[in-house]
Amino acid sequence: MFKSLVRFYSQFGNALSLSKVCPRSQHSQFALKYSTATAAERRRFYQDVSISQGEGGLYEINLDRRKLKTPGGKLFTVPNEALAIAVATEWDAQRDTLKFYTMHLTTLCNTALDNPTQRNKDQMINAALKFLETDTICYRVEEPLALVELQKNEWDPVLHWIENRYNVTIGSSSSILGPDIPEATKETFRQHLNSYNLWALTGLEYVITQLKSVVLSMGMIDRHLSVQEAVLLSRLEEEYQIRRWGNVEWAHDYDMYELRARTAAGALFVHLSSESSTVKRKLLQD
Amino acid sequence: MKLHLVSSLWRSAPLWTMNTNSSTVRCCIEQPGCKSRTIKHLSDMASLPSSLRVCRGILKELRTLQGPGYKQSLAYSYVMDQFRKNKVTGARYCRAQQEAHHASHTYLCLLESTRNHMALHNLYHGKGERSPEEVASLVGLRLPTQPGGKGWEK
Repeated sequence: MFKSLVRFYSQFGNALSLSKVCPRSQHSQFALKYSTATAAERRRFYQDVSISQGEGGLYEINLDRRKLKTPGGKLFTVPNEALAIAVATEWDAQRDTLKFYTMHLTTLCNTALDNPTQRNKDQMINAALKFLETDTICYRVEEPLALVELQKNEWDPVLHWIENRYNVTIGSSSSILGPDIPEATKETFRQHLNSYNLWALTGLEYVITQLKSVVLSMGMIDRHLSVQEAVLLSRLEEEYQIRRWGNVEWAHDYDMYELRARTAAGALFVHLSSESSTVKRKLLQD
Repeated sequence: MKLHLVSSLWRSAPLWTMNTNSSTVRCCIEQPGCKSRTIKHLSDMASLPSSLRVCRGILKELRTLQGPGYKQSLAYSYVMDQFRKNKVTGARYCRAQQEAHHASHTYLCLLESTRNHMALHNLYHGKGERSPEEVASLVGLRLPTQPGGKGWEK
């Protein structure tokens, strides 16, 4: 058992010894671990991936006989079976080397567990709401005319939908300052975001930063938009330019698939981590 | 020039999206006295492919990821279990089913996009710096092979 632990921690050996040599604060040691996790590709060191239910009903991931840990050294636990299976599938999908940049759900769980930026709920909500002031779909162009029309046709319905759904005013603008969003609107969204738990909020903020839009993100989380639609609307101007000038596979498609994967992972993460109460209710009914 | 990328997707907001945060009811509710409306709502879901297609799509992705033994995997049994559990008659209004459908579609999108992204990544990126010849051929050009001239033109 001890041997296996040593082997598992060998990946952090570099980071740990470095931090011994140069005296750093706790925070920078943390950041170093995160950076090494993405920079170097490790070989796949396990055969089987399985899940097990540990203390408090939380699910754990087992790589052979070893328990998966977060980069911060905590035990990797997730609140429900679906998320555990999705994460296990990600680990199982790795071939010769571990490609952490394709394991979006694992990354999100790690972020939620370790909370590397040490923020609380209010700070996260504020960070997410900052995107409302500069929301992608509130900024309109004045020329070319075709793009103006496209933005009006595609973005206005979502804007109207969210204004009706939350009973708020957002509006759009073509000035560089953007629309003037009333304080009441922000307060409504603040209260709504406050109803999510820390995990769901982590996913939600991730989606918002990917799509650069609170409106599109909420539309997708509320199941008004599918992931593909939300990503398309977020990249509307780029799609317009592609139609005009042609598609470049290694840039446009590459970006689009990455954005789709990240957005889908974020949306799934939000749904799965705010789901636990639903499942309990169902057991009671049965 | 008429520009409509996704125009057919937008209709008035369907009822089932209005109240999703309080969605804890698992059983199916008949919409009172508006059958035509229910059908309209179901047609709103036309923007998402049918659940059977989504299910088959996810299984296909799992097979690509895990090879022929994918039926023994955790994910396979979980996905099949979920799709069987949420199989409800189509003429009924069921929020839990809509949620499950959206979630399954999102998961399919995640698997597909990750695979496509990796395929493009392996094809174009992640191999370090390209040689000048390769860079030139990427944009349809060739490098000269001798000083003072191209060397390959007639």
